[in-house]
Amino acid sequence: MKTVRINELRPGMKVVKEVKDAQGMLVCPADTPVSERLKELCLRRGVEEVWIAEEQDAAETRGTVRETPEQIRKRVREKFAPYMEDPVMARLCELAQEYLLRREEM
Amino acid sequence: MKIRNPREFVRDIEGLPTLPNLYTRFRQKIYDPKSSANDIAEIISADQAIVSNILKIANSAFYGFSRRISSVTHAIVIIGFNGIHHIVLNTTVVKMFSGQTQGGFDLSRIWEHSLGTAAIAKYIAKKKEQKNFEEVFTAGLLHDIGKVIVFKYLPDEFRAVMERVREENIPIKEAEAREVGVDHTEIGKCLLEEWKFPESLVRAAAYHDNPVLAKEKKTEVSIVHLANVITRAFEIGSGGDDLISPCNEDAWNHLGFALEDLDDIAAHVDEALRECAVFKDLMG
Ligand SMILES: [Fe+2]
Ligand SMILES: [Fe+2]
Repeated sequence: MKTVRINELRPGMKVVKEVKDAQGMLVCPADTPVSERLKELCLRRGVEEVWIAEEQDAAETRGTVRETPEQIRKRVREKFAPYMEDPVMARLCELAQEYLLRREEM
Repeated sequence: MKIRNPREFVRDIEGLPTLPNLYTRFRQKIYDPKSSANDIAEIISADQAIVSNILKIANSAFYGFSRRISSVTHAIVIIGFNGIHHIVLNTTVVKMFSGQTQGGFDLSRIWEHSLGTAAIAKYIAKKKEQKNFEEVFTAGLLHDIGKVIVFKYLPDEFRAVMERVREENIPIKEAEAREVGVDHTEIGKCLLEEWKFPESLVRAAAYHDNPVLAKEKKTEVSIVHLANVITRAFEIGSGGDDLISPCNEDAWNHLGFALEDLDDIAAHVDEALRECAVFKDLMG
């Protein structure tokens, strides 16, 4: 088990310990799956951190499950697709792929 | 709430902090041709936090000086009035509006996007041999300040904007226009004007998506525009939505770059970010 900040919670995670606000009022019981609604509730009640299971590792808490290089390339190309006729954007598309792949390796 | 008049809105925002007195006095001295480095240092010395920030930045990779700068007066002499003005200005603003969370969105991600834009803008400014690189850096850092204002002072609208962005996959500007009535570029422009900030900062906030409209300070605005495009493409922080924003042809031509220059800028992005890392501490 480990604690994470509310803004690091992602759908797919599970809160493993019951959450109480500063007044000791229950926000959610143990084993509640993370949803946008739950995050909002925590924020509104002033909860800063919650407990999640340990195996939901760093890659997941960073926001996305680790992408493969091919997935990165595909995602970037799709985003750039409407602009590829512009040579500057076409080059930037290549550079962005290289940059993101390099960053993923680190 | 829908904003009809962004100027009135920024004037009347409940709880919007006013510019610190010290900054206003400092600015008067900076613009006064009779001021000496000592006069200016004297004003700054009233605030130890600003003193320590200036020394931290002056001795960081942001400048990369080989000799240690140990006093504010020394920093002013070495960095110059304009440079020191922008350092004080941007540290002041960043301190006023640093991190928190709203509707599952972390404000620090907007700041990370802004710092990325600022760092890349600084690199481009130096490449273009612009002397006022601190000013261009600051223009980058504050270009999306309107988003920060919506985030902090219209939290319900901000949440609605983010929901629309997620559900409809549209640019944040469009979602803002629909939910708030005006977008962050108009709010940012009005706020920075209200604060009487330098023209380059006002114009970068107003026209970073549409640099053709900047009749003056076109170089600064074009640099921030390109830096913003690259920061989004390289997914540094979050501009609010995950979409690509296209590079404006007019701005590109104004900068006179070739594709090889884009390669060069891309190759220096990480270095540029490292050079500006000192500002990350200030954002808390
Ligand atoms: Fe923007
Ligand atoms: Fe931006």
